[in-house]
Amino acid sequence: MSEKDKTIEEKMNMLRETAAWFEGDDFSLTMASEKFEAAAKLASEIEHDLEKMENQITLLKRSFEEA
Amino acid sequence: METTDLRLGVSDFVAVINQTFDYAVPSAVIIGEVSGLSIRQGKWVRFKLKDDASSVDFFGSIYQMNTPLEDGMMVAVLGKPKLSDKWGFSVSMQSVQAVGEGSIKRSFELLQKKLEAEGLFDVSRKRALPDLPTHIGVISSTEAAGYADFMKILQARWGGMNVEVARTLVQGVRAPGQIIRAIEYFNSSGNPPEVLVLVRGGGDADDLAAFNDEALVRALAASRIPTLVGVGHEIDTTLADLVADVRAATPTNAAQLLVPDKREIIERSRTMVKMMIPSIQARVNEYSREKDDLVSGSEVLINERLLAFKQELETTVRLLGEYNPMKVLARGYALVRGEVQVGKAIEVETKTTIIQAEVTDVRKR
Repeated sequence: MSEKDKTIEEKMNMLRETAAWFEGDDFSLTMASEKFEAAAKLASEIEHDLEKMENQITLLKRSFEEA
Repeated sequence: METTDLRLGVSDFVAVINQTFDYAVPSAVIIGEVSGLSIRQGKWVRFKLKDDASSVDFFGSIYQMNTPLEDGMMVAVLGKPKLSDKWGFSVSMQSVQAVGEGSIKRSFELLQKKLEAEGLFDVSRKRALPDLPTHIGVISSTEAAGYADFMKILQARWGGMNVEVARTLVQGVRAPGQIIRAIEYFNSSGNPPEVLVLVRGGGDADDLAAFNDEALVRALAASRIPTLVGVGHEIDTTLADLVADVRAATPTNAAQLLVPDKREIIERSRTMVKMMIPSIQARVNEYSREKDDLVSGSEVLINERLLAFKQELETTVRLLGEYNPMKVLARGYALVRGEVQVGKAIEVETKTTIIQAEVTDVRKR
């Protein structure tokens, strides 16, 4: 699954994991720059995805009056 | 008797009257005080509705008595007038609703007690709503302010959902039937929503009475789709609220409970990224401190080593100094060079002089 195909929840989970990496024992300065850039891109994508999401509202035509 | 008068048998007369009723008053909502209430064989309900001047008989089955009745209660009955060939005139009850604050409160208490005893309001029956619904069913009047509030907040908070709206009445004696049919419609759908939302704005006790309807409460309890009910204001409690899987204080609150706020998520994701910078900075500072500590530690070691060398050198120099023959001469001693043999010449060196001398005597000590 490519990055673009991921859902907002999946992207949020990836962002949480990255944030946890920065706080964790695996943190290394060598990787930090790359991880930070990826996280910033992910946050930007999440924002974009959320902004463009629109609801599809359907008013049912059927009547619920007693037949 | 005029020849133009209609001449009918009893059965025909009954049929003509009923046809006339069907045409003139197919159904009506009649409001009055209940009196002479009786329930026969646990099934058939009879009572009168009266006001100051008149009294009318009502008949129906207990299944149509969707709110508990007692003599003295004010109620609104949806019914069809009918002339029975055996029982005379009565109104066939289709549904009934308490009206007036006192009657509504009494009816509410009676029905609440009954349904509570059946366990319909038990916490153990409550189901969780989906975290992020993608398909929701809304039951409301699209004319109602509560519906507009719900949709406005829903749209502002989240997107990407399929929202199906079943338009029903949300007050009056016909409302419960319509809402029940909408609940049944969604439950029998081939593609059912993940959650059913029933919303209505505020109103007085009469306006909200539809949500205390027994059949409606049972339909909500029987829904296989989790239910969220947001009816009235925070202070209003209806039986529909009590039986719902999740109760919202208002329609606005229903939208807030149903979906997260995308603005909060955007802010949270931005904050997560911002919080990474201090982590990097902290680690850089940590490494920098560690480097400084190492450099500083090395300097101390180098200085200590230098000092030790210096001290060792000084000791050596001092020691070497002690071996200098000039120091011995300075203490008054003399250095004799040459063969110590009588008649031989020797050289005697003192601190200040060098003396050439001849050996004249040599004795053993």
